[in-house]
Amino acid sequence: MGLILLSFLVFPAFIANILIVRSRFRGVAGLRITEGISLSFAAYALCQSLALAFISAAAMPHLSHNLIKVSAFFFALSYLLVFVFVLDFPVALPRWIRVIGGLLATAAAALALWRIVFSTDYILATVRAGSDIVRVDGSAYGLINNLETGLAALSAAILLARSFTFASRIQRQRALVGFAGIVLGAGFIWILPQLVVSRSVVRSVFALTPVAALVLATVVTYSFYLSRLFDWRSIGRRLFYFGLLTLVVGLPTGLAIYVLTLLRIVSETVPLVGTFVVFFISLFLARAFSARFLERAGSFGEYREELESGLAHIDLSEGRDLVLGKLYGLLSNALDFSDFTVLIEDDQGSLRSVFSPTGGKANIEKGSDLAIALDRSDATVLLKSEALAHPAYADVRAEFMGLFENLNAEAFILAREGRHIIGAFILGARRTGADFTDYDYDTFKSIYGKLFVFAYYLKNVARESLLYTVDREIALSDQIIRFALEKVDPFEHPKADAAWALRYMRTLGGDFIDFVRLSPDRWFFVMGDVSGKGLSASMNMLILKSMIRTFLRVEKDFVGLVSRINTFIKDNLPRGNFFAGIFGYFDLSKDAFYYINCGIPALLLYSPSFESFIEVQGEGKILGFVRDIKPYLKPRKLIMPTGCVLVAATDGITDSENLRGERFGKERLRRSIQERLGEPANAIVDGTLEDLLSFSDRKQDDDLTLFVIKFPNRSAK
Amino acid sequence: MTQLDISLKNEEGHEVLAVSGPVNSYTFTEFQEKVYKAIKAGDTVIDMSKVTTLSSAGIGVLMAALDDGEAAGHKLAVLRPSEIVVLAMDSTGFGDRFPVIQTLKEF
Repeated sequence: MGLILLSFLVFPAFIANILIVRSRFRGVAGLRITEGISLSFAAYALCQSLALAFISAAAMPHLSHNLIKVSAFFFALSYLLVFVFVLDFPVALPRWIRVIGGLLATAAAALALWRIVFSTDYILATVRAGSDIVRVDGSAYGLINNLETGLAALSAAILLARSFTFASRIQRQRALVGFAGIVLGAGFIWILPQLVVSRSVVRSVFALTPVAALVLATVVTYSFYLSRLFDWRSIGRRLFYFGLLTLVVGLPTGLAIYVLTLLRIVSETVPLVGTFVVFFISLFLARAFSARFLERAGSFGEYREELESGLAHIDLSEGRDLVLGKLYGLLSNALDFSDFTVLIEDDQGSLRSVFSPTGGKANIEKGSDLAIALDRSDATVLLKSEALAHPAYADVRAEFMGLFENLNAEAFILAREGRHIIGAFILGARRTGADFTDYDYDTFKSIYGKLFVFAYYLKNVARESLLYTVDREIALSDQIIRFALEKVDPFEHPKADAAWALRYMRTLGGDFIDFVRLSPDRWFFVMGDVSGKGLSASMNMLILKSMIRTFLRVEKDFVGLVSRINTFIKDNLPRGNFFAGIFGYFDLSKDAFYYINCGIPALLLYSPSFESFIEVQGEGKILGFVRDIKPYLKPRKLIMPTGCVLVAATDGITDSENLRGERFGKERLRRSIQERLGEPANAIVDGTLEDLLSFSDRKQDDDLTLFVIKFPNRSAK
Repeated sequence: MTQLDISLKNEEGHEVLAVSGPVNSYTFTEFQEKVYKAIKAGDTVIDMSKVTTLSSAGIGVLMAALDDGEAAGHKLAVLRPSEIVVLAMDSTGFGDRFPVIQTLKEF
């Protein structure tokens, strides 16, 4: 029963394999062959599993016999498709070879269909015998089997031979991985019948062969889209430490359990209890060993932490040249390269070189094939090996490789707002000639957030022309604030009257408010305060605002969105920075407001039924303190009754003090708004802020942000 | 009290950073430097009983010092925080995450 179940499970695994690859590489040349291999093997697995179930149940003997024959045909077809695949992989062979190979494969498929399905040459019968299944072979069974095995061996040999002809290490690696997949899968399929008691007793062979086929198809598919070099040193070190773990903990544990089983003669309880004790002791030892050695195994000679720490300590207020110089110094020291180029998007939307200590110049014009391909790819890190081997860049490979060669580059790190690229950090080849590996790739991914901050800074803040202004800070702040204000979607809807005000203590500040219109009736809303003051807070505010909009495009889950923002703050903003505010969705088609309080001190709802305000902010947790914020996030929902007013205020308002040290507080805020309930929302906002400034004798110690939304007329639409 | 005063003293065998006055946007840089230096060197107790204001930047310094201490294996504690400090810590929603002690014996 277990074997039949296993056999059935292989089918969905093949389908999942196809769907996963298709979702990533839709429309890419060469994909159909790998899909064909998986699909053909899937058909083989399904037919054989059904036949196995029918034979085991002694039901429908004729149908099960035909299913076995059809499955055998699909198996042969799969091997033929593997052969066609190797003619085209990793780089296509000359056209005439592929044409001849394709014709031969088609002829062979037709022949296979005839001899296997429509004749008795391959299998005469398959019947149940006791608890097993016996296959009665036809006269050509051995020949066809040998031809199939020979075809697999020929495919593997072609890949192995070709791997020696590639100068590119990534192509060699891809060919060798494909070779390993065929040898592993086809080798197991070949050896399995030799291991059973009799070649004609085939229950286990029938059930296990699809598993081996799955290995073959998966590895071959993986080789198709593999585009980064393995970090063999790291893999070797980890294997070594795992071997050591087996030796130091695994073997003594096995020995102890064996000795315990010998004690069964004395007592049945002792071995049972003893085994549990030994198991938990060895688990503890394994964890201790792992913490001491395994976790360090990967860190030998690695630079990620030092690089991350260095990047986190670059102070953006030092100015463009110093920032770029430090960035280059850190990256080139960590990776041992000399060529480095930074491209930043200009006003026309093209990417242009803004920095290169070695004189590299390159542009990626807006609307060019390469720009479109890069925009579409969604990748943030691209190694040269990927540009060379990744199917997604097949159409622009020549242009892309030209850019790599021109800049002596090995990797692109692309800073994106949503999908749109605002900057590219292009890293040169290592002085040692060594390639970038998976470890480097993961490191680039981990520093991506920080590099995005630099790209954003270079694009929006550190324009060269502004550096020559006399009062640089004021110029920057003006630019920052104007930019931030301009990007807020207007909140206009017949059902609601909304207004907000943002007043900075100095010219600069960390408070912000943002609306993103999602549909005619739905708005995303965020309002809050990034800790700190002045230029640094302003810059962090702007970066965070941009990242929130970026995350909003890709993250559909509300809690997931806030959680990602928390991670971004924790990992990428200067340490000790946090966000206190509120995230919300207004759905005016349902008169609803969904929100998560992340430390907003006041969210007040005026209810016309009670003619008073109620506090609805609930408990809130700031973002940027703990790494995993999800358990603390509590989404809430408010239904807005006719005539209600919703008010949100940052701590600058509630904590404002007068000369006697009294706080403005929520009570004064309520009174101030209640006095103006009959006025439009913007008059409420202006009047309340005027009350506050009068209270504090016009002294302002913090940024002030106030948002008011009224729902005066339910019937208007 | 409008000036921030930070002094290092030895109490009951512990190095204690005694802070008095406002920790706000004008003074937090000094607070930041001294706290970061102390937590980098070893276990740190910050006496905040005489702190009159603790701004978000000051809270951020305590948060970062907690992270630094955890990374370096050093302990951090806030000794006898004033009411305003307790309020500021509670306003983060993570008041219980700040290691508050009332006596040095608890350290």
